[in-house]
Amino acid sequence: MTEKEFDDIFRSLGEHTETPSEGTWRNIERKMGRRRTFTILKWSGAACTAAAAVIVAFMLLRHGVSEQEGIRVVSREEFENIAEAGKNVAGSGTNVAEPGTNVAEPGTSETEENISGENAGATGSDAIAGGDAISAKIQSSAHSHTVAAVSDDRNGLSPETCPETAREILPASEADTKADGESGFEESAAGNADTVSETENAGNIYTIDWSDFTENAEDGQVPDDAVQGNHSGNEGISTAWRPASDDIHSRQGKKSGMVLDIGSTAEAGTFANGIVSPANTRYMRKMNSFRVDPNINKRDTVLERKTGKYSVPVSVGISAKIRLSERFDLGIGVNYTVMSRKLAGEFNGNYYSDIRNIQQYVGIPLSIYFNIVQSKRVAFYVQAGGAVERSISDQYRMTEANNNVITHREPAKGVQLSVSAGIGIEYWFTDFIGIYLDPTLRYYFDNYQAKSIRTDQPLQTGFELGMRFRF
Amino acid sequence: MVLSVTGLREQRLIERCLLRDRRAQKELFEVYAPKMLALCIRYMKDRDEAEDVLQDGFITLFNQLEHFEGRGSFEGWARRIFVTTALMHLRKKDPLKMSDDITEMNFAGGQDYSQIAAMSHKELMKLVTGLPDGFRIVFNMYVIEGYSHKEIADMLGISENTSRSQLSRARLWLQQKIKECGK
Repeated sequence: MTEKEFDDIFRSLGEHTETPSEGTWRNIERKMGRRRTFTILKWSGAACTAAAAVIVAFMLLRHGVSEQEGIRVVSREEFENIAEAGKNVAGSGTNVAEPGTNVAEPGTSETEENISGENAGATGSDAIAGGDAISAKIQSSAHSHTVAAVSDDRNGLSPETCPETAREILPASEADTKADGESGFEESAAGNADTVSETENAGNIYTIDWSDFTENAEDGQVPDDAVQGNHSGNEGISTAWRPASDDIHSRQGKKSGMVLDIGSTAEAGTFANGIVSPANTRYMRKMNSFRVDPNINKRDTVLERKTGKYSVPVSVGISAKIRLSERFDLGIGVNYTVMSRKLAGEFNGNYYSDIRNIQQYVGIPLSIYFNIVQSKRVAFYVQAGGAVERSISDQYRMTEANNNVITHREPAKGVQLSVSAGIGIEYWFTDFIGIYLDPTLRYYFDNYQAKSIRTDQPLQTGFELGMRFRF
Repeated sequence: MVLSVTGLREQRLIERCLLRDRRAQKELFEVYAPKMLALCIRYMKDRDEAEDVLQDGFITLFNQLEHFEGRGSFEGWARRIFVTTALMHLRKKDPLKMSDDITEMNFAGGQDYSQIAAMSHKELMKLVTGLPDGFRIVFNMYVIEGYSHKEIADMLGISENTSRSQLSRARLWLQQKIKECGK
């Protein structure tokens, strides 16, 4: 037997097979799954962290923007003086209400029957006016509350924070006896808000039936007359707090509901192992088809042989956000996107190991915003929408051995459709300028576009950051 | 060049595996795992260790699939991955110790080894896995996998002469064992 024959016998062992044990594939899956789970967890964790940071920031900012302006109730004499002078007593936007008036608690709406016709003339306001009908209403109320200013849960003001206001509301006798404003008020505030604290002077009513206001406060609507500034010499009522329906535009007077966004977006692929793009199957088939059929026309087109890395797509754009209602806004704009990737392949018979593909798109995004929470400075919302994009350039740059660069452009066809959903937060530095951050999930449909990170990973996470201008 | 039906099916399977289609990956595993496990056993000797190498080898294969350019057979490309994985495991376990003796032993060609032609694959596997580590690795790589001495020397970090010496000694060892079996 020769050496070769000897080797040939053992060489046949190359065809020998052994049956793997039952759990082998499961172990492989588990080991591969750990990486996929890690990828999903990584992105989920990042999204949750971002959402938590947004909520925490909002909570912190919300408590910091409470305003101390409120409604100050003064004695009749002082009111008459003010009415004659036609001046705003506070000079800082606070209202002066005649004693015994039905003071509109922020966020309440007044019904016609609560307002006497006599009241309308005195100050020009239905909400704030002297009037026997209103006084009677207040007097006849079954509940007599302590003054709202001393009750924490009424308007966010505590006796400790605004003793002055409390004194102004109570008649002089009571104000003196409770000069420090603490013991009595605390008692009232801590105990049942319905406890009676009537003054001795029945003619001058300083107790206010807050139950009526709290009942009406649920719709969160501010009566038009309370904010329109229809009181003589008075500006619109500033509100210490408002629930979700804070209308910054109304408070500023008449302004258009238009906001201009200038922003930029960076996107990243996500769930690479979860969403299999049908587009990618086509690209792989095309990639491999040239190996099968050498007669396919290989001229004037780049034949991809090896896929390289994708860069993070970047978009910049400008859009307008139009207020549709208290809660809903419509956003429309235009954006420009650049995507790039590296690959290796053939072009006109030559193989290039370093090819750069740069694609540029112009698109029109359309979104609906739902405002969840708003305050003067911060707003938190959810948004959903879509976009139509058109490729304006699909360029391949190939570097030859002599560093000569060959450029080839593929024709663009069709449009890229996508849908998106996400959350957002905006912060206003002033009434006119703010910034926003919108973490978004976007899905790109298979529209037979050129191969890119979008066709490979159609589900993308994006972070849009930009400036907002209100006008 | 015309690919056979099997080749086209394999191509479709590879395409789907590139898209991380788990079902396609399992199908590829079922097609190639038996041969690759046999390869791993030849290198590792121990079956449990061979199963570990098999698992790691397939994970590497799926991750490296995009680098398969279609030149040569897929099986040959896959074998290289598993050989490399097996060598990595062997290095971790114990550095591949090769005898420095580079004396080549002559093949005893005059003897009658016809009984090995009648041996089953199982018996041949038993013979091969019985080889000492250094002999076994070089013998597998040269005779069964078809590596050249130069490639073996590069992969194992030894000289070509050492590779030749190890191979000749492996053959002699096997001849001795066959003789003992024949008695």
